[in-house]
Amino acid sequence: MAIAGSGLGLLFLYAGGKKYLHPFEFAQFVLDYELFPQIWVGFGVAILPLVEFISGSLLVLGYILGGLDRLATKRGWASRAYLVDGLKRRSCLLLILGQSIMFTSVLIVTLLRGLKIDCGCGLFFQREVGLVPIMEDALLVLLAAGLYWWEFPIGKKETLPPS
Amino acid sequence: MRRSVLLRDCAWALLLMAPAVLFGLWIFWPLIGVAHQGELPSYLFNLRQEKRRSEYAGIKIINLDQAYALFNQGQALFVDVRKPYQYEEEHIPGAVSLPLDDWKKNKNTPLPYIPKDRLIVTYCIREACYAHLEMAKILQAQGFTQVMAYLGGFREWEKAGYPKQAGLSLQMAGKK
Repeated sequence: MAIAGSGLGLLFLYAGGKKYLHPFEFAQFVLDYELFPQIWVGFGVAILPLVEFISGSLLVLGYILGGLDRLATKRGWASRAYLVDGLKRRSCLLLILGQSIMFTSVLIVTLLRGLKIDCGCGLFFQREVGLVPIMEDALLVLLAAGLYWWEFPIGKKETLPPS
Repeated sequence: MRRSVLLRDCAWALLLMAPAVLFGLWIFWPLIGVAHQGELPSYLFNLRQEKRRSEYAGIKIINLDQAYALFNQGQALFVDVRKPYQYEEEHIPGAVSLPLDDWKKNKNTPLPYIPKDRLIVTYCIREACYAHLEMAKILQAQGFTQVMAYLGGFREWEKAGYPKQAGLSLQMAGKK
């Protein structure tokens, strides 16, 4: 689970960083969808890459610290679970889940409208909107939802920060 | 319990988003201003125009009418730099496929059997694309003397209702 979660986090970290470094290309991709008013595109270009980057990087950091914490507990050292909790892995997963649902919905709507455009979702190469990118994004939705469910503390005792 | 945990997670998610929102708005406020005035497409076009002027200064750029006139004259060789599957779906009739990505991987000699003084027109998918300009630059560096880039790309050609054809990819790159 930690590997899957870290992979998901790295994916969002990379995607967010790439969009942040190339904002004008990203803006053109969003405009090509012809789905949102320009002002929304402006706000999306300003905010979305950083939300992706922050949620991805904090998720990765959360899993790294989670691993270190388990190691510390095994060795009988004091637990730093409150620090891991402070990074709010579940909240990062919620953010990633929300973004993945949004991306998938936009792709489905665009496919139904029959627009032949680059999806802007290819991390390493460009692709057109189609079934494959939709399936990939749907997989991300399932992964984020599954990880959130796994992390959810029902039936488990939550570690609380020391008072 | 379940609901309160979910609510707390959502509240933390909003809190984590806050620095992203504030920092993003701070950095990209001018871009939001442009978008608010409804000038984002022209702003982005001008940026690309500037890049074309600075990085591809030696490449002659032609528009839709000029490309269509050359097509009708039948003397120009159209070079499609999109991905092979895009070419196979539809392309300008008579065009050859020379995907930029493939060339970057293989570094083969492009258009080995074509005379260097042949009129060549490269095209990509759309205006916001640099692959055709990049390929035009490569062809010029290989010694081709009459290379042009059709700016609007296949999407503009298709929208104008000009002829197109489907077919297998005819790769035009030889060994080094």
